[in-house]
Amino acid sequence: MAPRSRVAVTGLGFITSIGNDAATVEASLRALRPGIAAFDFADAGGTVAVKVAGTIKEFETGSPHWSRWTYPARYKFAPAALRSLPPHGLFALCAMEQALADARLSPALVADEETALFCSSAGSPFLLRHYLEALHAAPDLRGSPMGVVSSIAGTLNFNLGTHYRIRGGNCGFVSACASSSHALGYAFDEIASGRFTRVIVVGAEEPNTDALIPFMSMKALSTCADPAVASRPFDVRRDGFVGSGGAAVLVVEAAAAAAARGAPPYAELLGWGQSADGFNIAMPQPEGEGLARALRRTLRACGLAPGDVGYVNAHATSTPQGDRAEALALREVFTRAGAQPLVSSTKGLTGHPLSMAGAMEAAFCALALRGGFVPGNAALVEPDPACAGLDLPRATLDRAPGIVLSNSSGFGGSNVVLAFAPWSP
Amino acid sequence: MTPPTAKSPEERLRDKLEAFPPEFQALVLAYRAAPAPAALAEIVLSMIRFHGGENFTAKFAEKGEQVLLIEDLGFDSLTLVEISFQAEEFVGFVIQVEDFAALATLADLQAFLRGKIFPSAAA
Repeated sequence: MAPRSRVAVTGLGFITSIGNDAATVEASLRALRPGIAAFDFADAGGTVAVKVAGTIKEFETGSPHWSRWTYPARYKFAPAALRSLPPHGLFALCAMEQALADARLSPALVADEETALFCSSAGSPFLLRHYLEALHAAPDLRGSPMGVVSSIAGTLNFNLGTHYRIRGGNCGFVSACASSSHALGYAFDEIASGRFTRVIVVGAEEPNTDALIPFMSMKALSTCADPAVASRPFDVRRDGFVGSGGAAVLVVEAAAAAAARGAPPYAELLGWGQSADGFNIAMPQPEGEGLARALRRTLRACGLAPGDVGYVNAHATSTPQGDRAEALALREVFTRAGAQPLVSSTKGLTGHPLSMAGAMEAAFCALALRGGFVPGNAALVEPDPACAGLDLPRATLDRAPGIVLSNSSGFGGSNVVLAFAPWSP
Repeated sequence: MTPPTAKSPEERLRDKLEAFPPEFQALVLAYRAAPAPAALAEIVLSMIRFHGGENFTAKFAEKGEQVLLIEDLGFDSLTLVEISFQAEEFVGFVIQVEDFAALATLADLQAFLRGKIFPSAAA
């Protein structure tokens, strides 16, 4: 059996509520500068109790027509690249451009037979509604030929795969808010086993009324109108998550391929683990049993003990049930073993970008590993008693995090944990 | 479920025009009020420029109306379908997708539409 390849993270791209490039995102994480702002859900009609969102700056994508969108002048895209995109596809294109340049990947390498594209998004409810309304309003039910490819859940794969001439593999992942973590986990497997040299992992969502307001019907969104504290993971006063979106892209590849190109890795992706709760369509198992199982599975797969872990980037979204279950899972795996890694949820800064959360937070972990810092828990004032024994730093620590875990959980009880280490050649 | 009320042709035209710049919208509305071959040619040219972007500008400067829709501008089948739908809304003529097989260049498209809509003015 061939030896497993080491897997390196060599490129990052960000369009997020806390910054639209790696330097700005790192500065926001270090200074705990939030990306949550007042958001006008007026197009929902009626009075909406939700008042804030993790907003994307520098972009205007409120029109269903790509020709009406505006985006930073540093990006140049032809109509052919835009006309079948949803708004979050534009975010993904911009983040891709950053990540490919960051990883020093030429167009020829991106289009070789060894490079795959793994994407996660919920599609675009906004464009789906627009196109379905237009279709039903036409006497012959004739809609736009771009309606399907720009709005359904595979839209990132269709568009980015074509634009970048991806030929190794092109695949989507759907496990709600664990989706892009699943994409990264399976990317690790494909590279470590030698099936692909590299995988470009993309998570993207659009923070607009159609994507976010349906979660209000589930009582999942915070109704706090103060952007500074609406998203407060692990705090006793938390009342729901703050929706967000954007795009995050990671280039993960065989370490030997990165070295041959002279691309300096941010971090090593050591491995991953997953589990399923088998409990409820939306709520986690209350004691965090499923996530604890994924944590243990990850430690075992990577040959780690609980005491080896220096930092856990928690999934905690600021919902009462989810944060409690995660805190209990962390206590079960770490506190019971006498370990006390630092734990923070960066969603206090960003809000919760749904399926892109895993990719975004994995990319935050890569920044933390290269930059030698541990993000703090923004907006955390009084920790939930369920967090007793956990080390929840309020401020960002100027300290190398060591081994890092990134947790994700999604509807239906999907749990994913990714493990990263500082890069050592 | 009650189906939504079908929109009038005028409402559908307004919806379709939303994606285009104001000067193009004015051009189409003027053409609809008083159809003429010169205005038709300007609408077709503007539609192809809209879909081709900067690539169109470069190729048109080089080849004029002999610019190739697929090879030069990269139009795929979905884009051609979209152009055919828009032509129907804007100038009132249905281009069948199979017609595009014989329409390699912008000049071909211009001549085809002029011949169908203004047969007496066709060159």
